[in-house]
Amino acid sequence: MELSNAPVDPNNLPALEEVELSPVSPRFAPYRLFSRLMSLLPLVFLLWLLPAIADLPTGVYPLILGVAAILASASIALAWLEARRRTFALREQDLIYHGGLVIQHTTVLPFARIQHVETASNPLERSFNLVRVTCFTAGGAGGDLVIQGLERETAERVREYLLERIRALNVPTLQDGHD
Amino acid sequence: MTEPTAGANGWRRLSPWAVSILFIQGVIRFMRENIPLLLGAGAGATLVERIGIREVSLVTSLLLLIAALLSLLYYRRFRFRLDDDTLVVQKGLMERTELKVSADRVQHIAIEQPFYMRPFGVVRFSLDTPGGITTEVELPGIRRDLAEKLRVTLAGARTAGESPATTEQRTAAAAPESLFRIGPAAITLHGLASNHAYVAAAALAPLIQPLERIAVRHLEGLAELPWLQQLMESPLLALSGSIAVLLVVLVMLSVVVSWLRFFGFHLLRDGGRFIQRSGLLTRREQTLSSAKLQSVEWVETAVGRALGRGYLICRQYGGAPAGADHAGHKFIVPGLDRETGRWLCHVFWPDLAPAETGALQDRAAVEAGPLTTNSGPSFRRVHVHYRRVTALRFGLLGIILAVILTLTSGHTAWLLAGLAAVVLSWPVAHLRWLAVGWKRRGRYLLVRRGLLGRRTTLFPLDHMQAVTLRQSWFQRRHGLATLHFQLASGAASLPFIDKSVALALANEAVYRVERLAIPRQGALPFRQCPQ
Repeated sequence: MELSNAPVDPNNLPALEEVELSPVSPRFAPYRLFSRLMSLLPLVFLLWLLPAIADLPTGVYPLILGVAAILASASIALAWLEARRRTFALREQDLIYHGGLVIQHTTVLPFARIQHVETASNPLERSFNLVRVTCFTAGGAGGDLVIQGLERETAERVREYLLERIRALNVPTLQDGHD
Repeated sequence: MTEPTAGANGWRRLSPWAVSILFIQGVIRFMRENIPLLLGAGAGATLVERIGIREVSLVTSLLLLIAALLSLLYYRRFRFRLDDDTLVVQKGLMERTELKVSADRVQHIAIEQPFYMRPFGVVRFSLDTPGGITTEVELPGIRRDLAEKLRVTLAGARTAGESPATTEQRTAAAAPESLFRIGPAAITLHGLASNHAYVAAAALAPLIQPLERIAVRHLEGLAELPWLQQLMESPLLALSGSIAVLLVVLVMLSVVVSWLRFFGFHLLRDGGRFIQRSGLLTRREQTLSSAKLQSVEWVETAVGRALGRGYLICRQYGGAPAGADHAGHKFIVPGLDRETGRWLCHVFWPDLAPAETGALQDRAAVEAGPLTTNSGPSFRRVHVHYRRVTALRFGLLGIILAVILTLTSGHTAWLLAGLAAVVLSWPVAHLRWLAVGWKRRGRYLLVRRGLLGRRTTLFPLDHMQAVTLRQSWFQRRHGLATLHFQLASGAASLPFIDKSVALALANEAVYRVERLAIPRQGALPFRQCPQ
């Protein structure tokens, strides 16, 4: 058990708020736009079927279509704007990721807590040359950090850097001694 | 029956009694999983009526025979051995599985002896590792002395980093120190204060339909009873009487469950690990490594607060709550008064005690404990805007639900319920705001939440896995933020605190984690890494 309890001077700590964050790839915004459009396809199909499956009063169907169009447009616009605000930074000891538009969030993940790193991309991401990097921790799904919107080359460099830092820190992984 | 000894290459088999134990366990599991199905909607009775009792008995006998054969086969294919400090298990009926768990990965060991194992002198040994949601390894029937040997080897090697033989000698020489032993009054109070009643109500839910059918069937006979006739004439009296009876039954069940689970509870300290023994029918022994302890939670239910009782939950890796697994992730210390709870927190984390108190093990020295507001620096409340936002959320949710229910059911009474939700939203939000608080104690952070009850999570800042600072549009306007700590044992949030305070806490937590990692690779300056 560690019994270290040395006082910490809060004025001399590395400050999260002073870190300059780098934006993710500019291709991420169009990717998010297409991704959101595709996720809305089932809704479009449902709206198309609606007159056939429900006996709607006159004038209600155009009203529903209008409301759905406004909501879908807002959703797409928000996705675009939110994607343009995503930023990240690598420090010597941790990774910072910032996102969100209405609700903004900044996550700091120390390298000492990363168990393993994974890069993945779906066909749509590949068409935009994008890769997402997932850092897994011992904190379960809630503690894992997914960095979306990195170009393939950047993602590879980030992954290599993370693995190098984890090796340097000699972090024991969950796989050690257990297979 | 002769007990097996280690064979070639050190492989061991389970005790021969394990065959019958596996059979009993399988039958119990099958019954437990299918009782709601059989009882619900009278499926069992209908099945017997349709097919006939003889045929059902024949099929049952056949199923039992198959279960017995499978148990025998499972026993024959199950073997294990200890390679230095690594437990190797081979098992599987259709698919062979080999599990290897080294001592340094073990975080929790449990030895259980249900009442049906006692005549055979065998126990169930189980352990789990960080990251595993369910029990990682289970030896379903081995001799107690062998289980003890495994426990000493696996738990001892991981705590001290010493050889298993040395650990065994040390453990044999030094007797464990007794920390807390529960009494009958404390078990009963724990039963009264705990939320077992809700669990019991959930367990009884499948019986509601069959009971309702029986009641309807016998209603004509019951209707002649004079007291029932009186009750029928006054629906309000009938309703309040039924609720009172239900509450009494549930509370009694809760007390019974508490006695079954925590009878003879004894907490001991053995070097760097804590051991608890308890159980009336199923004797359970759990081991907790202090090095793997991630957070401690002090829980006081609403009734518990009135009775001055609470319990501690020691959490290790794995945020998922304990399910039906035997080792589980929870190490509960029940039936505590506030002083004992405070003292045990200091036992789990000795540097939690204020520096000036000196003797850490002295109960009197930890009077100024961190758990309650009546001692030491009080909890800091979150911003009052949290109350406003909580009331708004609660009220809006009530209105939306009321509108949906009114539109779907056509009953305008739902709108009144929505109005009631709006009226109640402010007192509920106020209670919530009173409950939420936080305070620092050295490298530790205490986060409290609740409504009528209180749940206080205590963890060292350097145990956090990741930290997230979240700000809504409203919070940005008022310079507030919500700080979310992700721990290996779950999450803790501080809502609506000043952004500057949130940033300072986040910076310190990150610093403390990274400072612990630096000595392993040499001191590194904190500077921005080139992109």
